Amino acid sequence: MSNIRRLVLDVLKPLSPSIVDLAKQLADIQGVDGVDVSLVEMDARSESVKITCEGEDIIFKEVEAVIIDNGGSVHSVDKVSTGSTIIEEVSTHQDTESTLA
Amino acid sequence: MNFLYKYTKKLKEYREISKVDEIARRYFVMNGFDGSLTILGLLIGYYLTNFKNPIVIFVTGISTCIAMGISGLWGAYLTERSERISNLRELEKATISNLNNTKIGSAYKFATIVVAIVDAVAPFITAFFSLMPFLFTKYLDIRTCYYISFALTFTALFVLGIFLGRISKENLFISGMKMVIAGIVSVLISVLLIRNF
Repeated sequence: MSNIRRLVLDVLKPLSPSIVDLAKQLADIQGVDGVDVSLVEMDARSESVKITCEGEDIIFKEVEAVIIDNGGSVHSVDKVSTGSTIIEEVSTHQDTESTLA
Repeated sequence: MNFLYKYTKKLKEYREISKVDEIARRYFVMNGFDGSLTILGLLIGYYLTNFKNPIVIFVTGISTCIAMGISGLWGAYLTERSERISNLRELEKATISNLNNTKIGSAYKFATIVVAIVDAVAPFITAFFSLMPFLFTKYLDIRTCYYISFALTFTALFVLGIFLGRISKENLFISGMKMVIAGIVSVLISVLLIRNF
C-alpha cells in the first residue's frame, strides 16, 4: 500500500490548546516531517483551522488521534497526496472556464 | 526519569488548558484569610475571658481547622466540578464533539481536584500556624502563648497580603497592611462586643 505524503485537513477545535501546541504535537508524530496550521476563522469558543502535514509515511489515524485528543474534530479531508512523489494539482482548461463562469 | 518528565509535561499542559493557577491562587488567599481570622476570633474570645487551658484552646482550634478544611474541600470540589462540566458542555456544543476523553476533559478534572485541595489546605495551614504556640506551654506561660499566637496570625495576614501584592505588582508593604487591618478591625469589634456583654 502507498504511503500518505501530504494531508490537508479542515479541523474545528477549541481555543485551548493553541494551534502552536497542536502543531508541535502533530510534528512529533512518526512519519510526519513538517506541519502547517493556519487559522481560517474563530469565535469566542472555537476556531476553524487548516492543517497541512507532509512526511514520508503519514498514518492518518495517528494524526486524527492527536487532533481528537486536543479536543478537535476533523470536518473534512481536503487533500491527500500519496506515492513516492508528491504531485501538485494541475490547472486545466475546464478549471479556468468554471472560474470565468 | 522519562516517566517523571512526561508526567510533569502533562501536568503543565493541564495547567495551561484549565488556567488553574489563577483560580488556585485566589482560593488560597481567600481561604487562608478565612482560616486566620477565624482562629483570631476564637483566640480573642478565649483571651478576653481569661481562659487558660491550652489543651482546650488547641483542640478547639484544630477541630475548627479540620472543619474549615473539610468545608473547603467539599464545597470547592462540588462547585468547581459543576462549573467545569458546564463549560465543557458549552465547548462540546461549539466544537460538535465529545470532549470527556480528551486533554480538555482531563485538564478540567485535574483543575477540580487541585482547587479542592488548595481550598482545604489553605485555611488549615494558616489556622494551625496561629495555634502552634499552644503546643509549647511546657516552656511558655499561657499569656505568652496568646501573644505569640496573635503575632503569628498578623504575620500570616501580612504574608498573604504580600502574596497578593506580588500578583498585582503593587506596593508589597501596603498590600500586607491591608490584610493586617482586617485582623485589627476583627479584634477591635470583638473587644468592644465582649467588653459590653
